[in-house]
Amino acid sequence: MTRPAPRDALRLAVTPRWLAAAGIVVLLAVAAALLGRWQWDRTQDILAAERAALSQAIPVEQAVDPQGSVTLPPESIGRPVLLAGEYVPDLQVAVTNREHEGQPGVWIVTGLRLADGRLAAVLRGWLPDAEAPGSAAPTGDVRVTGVLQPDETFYADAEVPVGTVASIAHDRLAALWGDVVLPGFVVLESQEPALPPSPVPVVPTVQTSDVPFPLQNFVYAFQWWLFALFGVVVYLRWLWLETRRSHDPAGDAPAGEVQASTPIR
Amino acid sequence: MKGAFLRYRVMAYVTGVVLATAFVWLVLGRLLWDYGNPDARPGLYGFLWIAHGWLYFLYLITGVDLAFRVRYSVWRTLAILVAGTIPFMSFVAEYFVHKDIKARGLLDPPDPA
Repeated sequence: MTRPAPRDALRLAVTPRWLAAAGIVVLLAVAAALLGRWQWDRTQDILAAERAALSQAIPVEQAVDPQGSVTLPPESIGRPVLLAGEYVPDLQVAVTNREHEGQPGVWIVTGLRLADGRLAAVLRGWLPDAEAPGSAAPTGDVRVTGVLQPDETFYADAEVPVGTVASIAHDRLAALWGDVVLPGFVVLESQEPALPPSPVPVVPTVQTSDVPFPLQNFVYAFQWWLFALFGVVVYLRWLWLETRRSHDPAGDAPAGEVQASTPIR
Repeated sequence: MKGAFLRYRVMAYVTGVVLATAFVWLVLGRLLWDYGNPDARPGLYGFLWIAHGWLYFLYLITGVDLAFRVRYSVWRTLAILVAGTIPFMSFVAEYFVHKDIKARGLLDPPDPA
């Protein structure tokens, strides 16, 4: 019993029936590859859309809800937020020992009264000292765009001069100001009206862009590509087995298999 | 032949059950539980769909193997393979394949002579 040579398979492959089969396989493989590409693009689009939605500023009240919560929801950390209200000039502290480009100074945190009566702690920026020009917050209605940050948990027990704090934590500010303060604090990015001179805006320490990963689309992309490959492999295997059968119709196939010379329809 | 049919049969049922579960869940989710919103979907739900993808791949392998042994035509083979992607259809395909290969005596014990 001789084994068929690859050129026997090639001879079989150019018969009309097997050419048609090759055509189908190519069509299916291309279709599957394109579908995989489509799922891959969907994955990227979903991620881009989620990131875009996340970088869109939302009202701060929405980002810290449920109302009265004492901690910031994890998904709101690093979230761009909008605040509308009025600064309360009396409710202002200087955060000690904060440098800017190698220069010692303080961060200025001012309470901003929101429409619902609660206060938001707004880190307005850096100044060389608490009395420097720009320390006074603008009066009247302001619209602030900023980034939500979690409370600074360090230096909680530090002894500092009156009117200053060593770190920003909303519960200590609430105690200091005798008022309800939203959890976390907001790092100011821009403000309307912008009244110079004002403190130098600070870069938010905690920045996240965690979004849910569209695992299903991602896996589907690879599955489609695997199917495309699978189609080609099946075609080649069938061609080879058929070559073997036509080469040696009686003996080569394992016992129990159908030995018909034409496919059953 | 028996082994090939058994492998196909197992995969037809497993793939079919997973797909049917995911499909019923999908319909209920869309109708009742706001599954248009991705945040509303539980992790197991997405896992089922991914699992179906891989199980279906095994279904393809067993289906192709069986189809070649029984010498089904290309179109019949494709119909069997596609059935694994349509809810409940893999059960139907398995029923007809079973009936067909039984009628041909392929599941009978080998002739002792």
